[in-house]
Amino acid sequence: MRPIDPRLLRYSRSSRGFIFTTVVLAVLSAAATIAQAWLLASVITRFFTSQQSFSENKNAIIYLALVFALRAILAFAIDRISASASSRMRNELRRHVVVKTLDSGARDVQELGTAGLSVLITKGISDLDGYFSKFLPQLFIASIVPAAVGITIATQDWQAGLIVLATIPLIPIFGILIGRFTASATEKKWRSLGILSTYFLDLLSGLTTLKVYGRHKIQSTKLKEVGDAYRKETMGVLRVSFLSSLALELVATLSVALLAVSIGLRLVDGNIGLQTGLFILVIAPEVYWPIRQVAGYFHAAADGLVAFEKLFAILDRPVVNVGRKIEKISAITWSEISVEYPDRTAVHIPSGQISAGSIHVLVGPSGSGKSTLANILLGFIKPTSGEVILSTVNGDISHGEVNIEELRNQISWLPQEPKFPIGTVAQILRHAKPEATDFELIEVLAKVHLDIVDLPSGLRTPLGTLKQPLSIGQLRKIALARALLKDCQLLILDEPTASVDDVSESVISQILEEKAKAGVLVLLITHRLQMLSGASNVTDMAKLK
Amino acid sequence: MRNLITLLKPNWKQLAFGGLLGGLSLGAAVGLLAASAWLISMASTRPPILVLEVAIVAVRFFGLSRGTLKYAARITEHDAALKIQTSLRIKVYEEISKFMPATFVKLSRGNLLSQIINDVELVQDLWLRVFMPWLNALIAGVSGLGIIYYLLPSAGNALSLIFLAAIFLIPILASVISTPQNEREHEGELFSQIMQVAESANEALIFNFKDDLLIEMEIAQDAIAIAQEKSAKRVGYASAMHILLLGVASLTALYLAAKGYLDQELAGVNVAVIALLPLVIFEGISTLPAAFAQLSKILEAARNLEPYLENNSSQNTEVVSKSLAQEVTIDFHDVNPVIPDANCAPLTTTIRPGETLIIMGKSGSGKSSLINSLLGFTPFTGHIAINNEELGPKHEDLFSTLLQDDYLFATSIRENIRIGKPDATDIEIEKVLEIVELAELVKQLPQGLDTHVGPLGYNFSGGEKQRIKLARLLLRNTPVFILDEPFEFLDASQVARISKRIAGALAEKTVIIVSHLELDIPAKVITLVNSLN
Ligand SMILES: Nc1ncnc2c1ncn2[C@@H]1O[C@H](COP(=O)(O)OP(=O)(O)OP(=O)(O)O)[C@@H](O)[C@H]1O
Ligand SMILES: [Mg+2]
Repeated sequence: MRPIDPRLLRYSRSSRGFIFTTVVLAVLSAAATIAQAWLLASVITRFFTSQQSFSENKNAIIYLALVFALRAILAFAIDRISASASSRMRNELRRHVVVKTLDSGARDVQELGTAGLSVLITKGISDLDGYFSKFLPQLFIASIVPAAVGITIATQDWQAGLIVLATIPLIPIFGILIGRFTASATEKKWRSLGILSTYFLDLLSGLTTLKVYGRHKIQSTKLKEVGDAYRKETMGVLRVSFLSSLALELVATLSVALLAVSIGLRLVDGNIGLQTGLFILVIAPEVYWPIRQVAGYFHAAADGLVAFEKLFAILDRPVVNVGRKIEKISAITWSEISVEYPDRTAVHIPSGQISAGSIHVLVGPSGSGKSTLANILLGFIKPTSGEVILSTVNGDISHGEVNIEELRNQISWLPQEPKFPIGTVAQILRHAKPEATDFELIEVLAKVHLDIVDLPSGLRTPLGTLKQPLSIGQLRKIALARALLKDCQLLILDEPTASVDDVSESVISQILEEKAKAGVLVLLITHRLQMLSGASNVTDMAKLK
Repeated sequence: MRNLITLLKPNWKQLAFGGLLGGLSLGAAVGLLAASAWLISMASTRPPILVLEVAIVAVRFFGLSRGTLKYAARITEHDAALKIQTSLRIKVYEEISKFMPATFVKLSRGNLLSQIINDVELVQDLWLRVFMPWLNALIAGVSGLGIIYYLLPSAGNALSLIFLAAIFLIPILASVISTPQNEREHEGELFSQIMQVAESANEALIFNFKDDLLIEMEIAQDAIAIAQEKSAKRVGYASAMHILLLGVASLTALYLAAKGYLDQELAGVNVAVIALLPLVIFEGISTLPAAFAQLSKILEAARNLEPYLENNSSQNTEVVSKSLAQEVTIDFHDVNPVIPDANCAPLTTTIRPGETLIIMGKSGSGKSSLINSLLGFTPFTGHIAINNEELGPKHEDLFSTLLQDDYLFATSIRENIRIGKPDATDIEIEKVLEIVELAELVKQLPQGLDTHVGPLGYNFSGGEKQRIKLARLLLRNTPVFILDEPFEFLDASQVARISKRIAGALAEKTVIIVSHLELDIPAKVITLVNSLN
């Protein structure tokens, strides 16, 4: 967790100009603050020591008013610019992250969970606001303004200048020491926040199940436990990180107190003028203000920065769509494939081949690796060993070498557990074939025995929203229709008959045979042995076990 | 809002104490400046050093106490806020779980759910980032103005007016004077879109709708950017107004201090005190613009949560005495679930203890709806009688149900299975795993029952997930078992073996199974037909 990460500037181009502008504005506003202190000190001195009236100081008062006006304008500009620049930078970053996540499919979801990933991309990036709009500019300001003010003080009174300049280096030292300490704690806190939000989403998502099991009441106690654990974790972090603020605060206020006392004592001796004394008193806090701000913002930004590490794990992933183009595929052959999931005994997949015009059926008990093979062909997971070869008109290509995005354009798939984005039946089907007419859609639905009149609003029936009007069997039929609709070279169906009773095996076999005749390579994962009749190739996964 | 405030109750003292500490810390800053201004002014008259002694001690005291108080304040406030947050989450959860089942079945993973989660997060800021800073600024202001009033009442009065204007107008300017931007709504939109992206990510790659998802996200982002741009402008205006009011206060203080001194109403050494105090009095206000810019958004979130915070007393009051029947006979008489656009033939049948009813029928013919009717999720016409009593809430605990879309929680295998029986021992769990043929697999896992199933059960295959759900059901001990498509994703021989074992385990029970596979167990089979076809 470094305070400035060059990668950040790379991923958000808008940040550079913004930092420059903010620093210029901050320097101007520091100058205005010095002028204000100076004017105040001189006017007060003249009131007190020379008993002058308000109107006798008309010029100084007018200048003072102008300085306030200038500061108001600067404040407006700084707030506006930093807030909108931060919003731009965050949006830019979010775009990059989402593109990358989408490119790698469900991988991040498997790692972080739906809620975890969503929280990271929304709240995680929003938390960077503290970093972008406050911490970053303040870091630059803190490296300019204190020194400038310190030197101004030194020109007025070298002893006071000495006190100030001696304490300035103390502050970053404190900051670094405690910052080190906080870093790992913040990481922990973020992790437990992830757990907390995942847990909450999980509870709400599974509420029906909990209710059916009569367990919904017990879960509030659990929710309290998880919430309390998060609170303790967070408070642990805050206790330490606020400690660093405390240290800075103490250095700052104590040195102002020290200055006041030393100036007071020297005033008694007549070694220093009242005006200089008042000026230093008013201006001294400005030395520490920016540094204290940096420390304060650092804690706000630390949250963002931890998220940042996770974001970069996603961002720094290499681009996937490189690799060779593919032409017409005539066969796919896999040999000696095994996959090692973490902490599992390896899954071995018997060698096999799908060739154009034939149907390859994969059977085998649950957990034997059927969906795993589908995922390998789809490019979602890489085998630990073994090879998949695509035979094309231009010769054989290893699966790992092809442009995966192009290959996926050539594949259609019925997932074992289909998930839909929000949209209507028509929209979802058209993802498979954008130019399909309504008639075609109705036709393909009829093919899988889903009568359009059974859908409450026909093709415009919404899916994936909160009012899910369809049964699970009907949803699977829609997914099957989607898979059949796409023009493809390879068709993978993972359990097309699960939960659907009337689309008989023979119906599906017939459709698949038609597909195969048209030159499509078909991979069918099923438990229905009746479906084997038309198959040219069968791999029984059980054999190796 | 009222419900939100009720949630504060257990913790409001701690919160108020934190606010007081924070105010005192700002007050210490006021004291520091007042004491040092007096010290320096007095010193310039070259009095005997003894006169300064008190002021010197005061300066050091305030110097020390400011930071310390602030530390204590922040710790106290944050702790209280997190506690409130936990109670809010629990309250929302409890109220949602009280809803009529039919309502929350629809509350699936769509928009609504993500919006609730988002809102709960947002509301937290109300105390820490909006209300507390305001309270602190007020306390600091009052203490500073008190000193000024004590020294020179005319200045006290004038500056109080300006201060009051600032502490009320600036938040109003920052929060209220704006057309509603719906930023929160768009953020909720973004969140749920990203959830969609996350869940259908693999499909998005194959069916190429990832660009659609990106465009949707872009639209939500643009809307948020516009809202943020506008709020940035408002914050800017409010900050500028803060400095301007500070300027007015400073100049007024200078004018009145000079006048007071000349009119001999004010001691000369206090001129600097009065002239400089506005600087710190207004310091606390400087953070308010940014904080209050969030206010309308937070209040909107609070309003959105309102329905989940209300006590739906109508549902709580009737305490039903649960039926304790050990054996159950279910009579269906002309039962027809009420579902739009569906026309099922009514069902009439009886199942007695030790009997199994298998319901078959084409998808969409209302098999799951029939089960939902039995569970009270879906209304129905006709009559269902449990041991000759009309079906009602008192019968809830008689059923154990495997839903077709039963949910696996993102936790360990053990925790998931224990939903069936919270105090189940590992031996009991092993026994049911044996029935569903998972014992072998679990034994091979290095972490055994503690293995995490992953979000949405990702770490297990389709059939394995189904069997974990079955195992969890089998731990239950109720007179009635209802299983909706229990053998999905299992191959024929496995179905034969497992269904026999389950039939054996539930031999004494009243069992209803919805299945499209023909099962080789003794049972009464009914096929539902959609009466339109
Ligand atoms: N992400 C994962 N992490 C760990 N193990 C996994 C993961 N995905 C799959 N497995 C394991 O790999 C094995 C093969 O899984 P796969 O999904 O390929 O089985 P399958 O043959 O499709 O089974 P089913 O018929 O039940 O769907 C299973 O034991 C499963 O638990
Ligand atoms: Mg599978």
